[in-house]
Amino acid sequence: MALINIDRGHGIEQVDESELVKTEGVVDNDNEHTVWVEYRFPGSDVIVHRSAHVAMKRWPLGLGALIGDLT
Amino acid sequence: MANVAAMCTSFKQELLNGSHAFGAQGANGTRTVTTKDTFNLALYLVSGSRGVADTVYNTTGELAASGNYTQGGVLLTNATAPTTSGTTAFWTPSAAASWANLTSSGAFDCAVLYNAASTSKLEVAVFTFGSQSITAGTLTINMPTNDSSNALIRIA
Repeated sequence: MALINIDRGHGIEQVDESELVKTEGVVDNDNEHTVWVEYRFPGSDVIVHRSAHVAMKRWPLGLGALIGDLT
Repeated sequence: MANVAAMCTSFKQELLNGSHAFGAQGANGTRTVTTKDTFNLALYLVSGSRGVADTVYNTTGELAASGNYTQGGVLLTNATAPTTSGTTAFWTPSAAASWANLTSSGAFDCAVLYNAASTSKLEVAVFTFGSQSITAGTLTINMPTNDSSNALIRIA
């Protein structure tokens, strides 16, 4: 299994993925497609690892409105 | 107060003053701008209040300098010069912004683009997304498609 970087409040350490509970999620809307992954120790609510990949589709407001503003 | 996505009003004025060079260009009839500026992306907490009235980068509301985050953010890769399609000019960084082994000092939902080569760190725009927290992980912000409808900076 892969080693996962975790932080229990005193710096980054590594543990085997098999020791952790993995949760994944996706946020998909008009502005972004975000994929995230979290790890906790079994029976714990404390997140010891969380990564996210945010893919911007088109930034909302402001920039779209800008086109009219500068015309 | 909350972070609100916007292109900074000051940036629009600075465009007219020639304060930003997103791409290199040859000498023209009025000035020589042969080197491009560098641009950074910095992250801000959900409690921040970045928005259209911003004028320069500052650390108010930025993630703390902890957990492998360096205040000032990351340097964006800028290998693709601004271009046009139809009546729209546009520009997008040519690679994602990424932070490795990051533990964020709190939840964040905002990234600020600013001209890191300018003396006062002129702010360009504020971008928002769903609230995120990172623990001992990687944050990647992938850029939108670089075209006239989706590019990060579009002027028509």
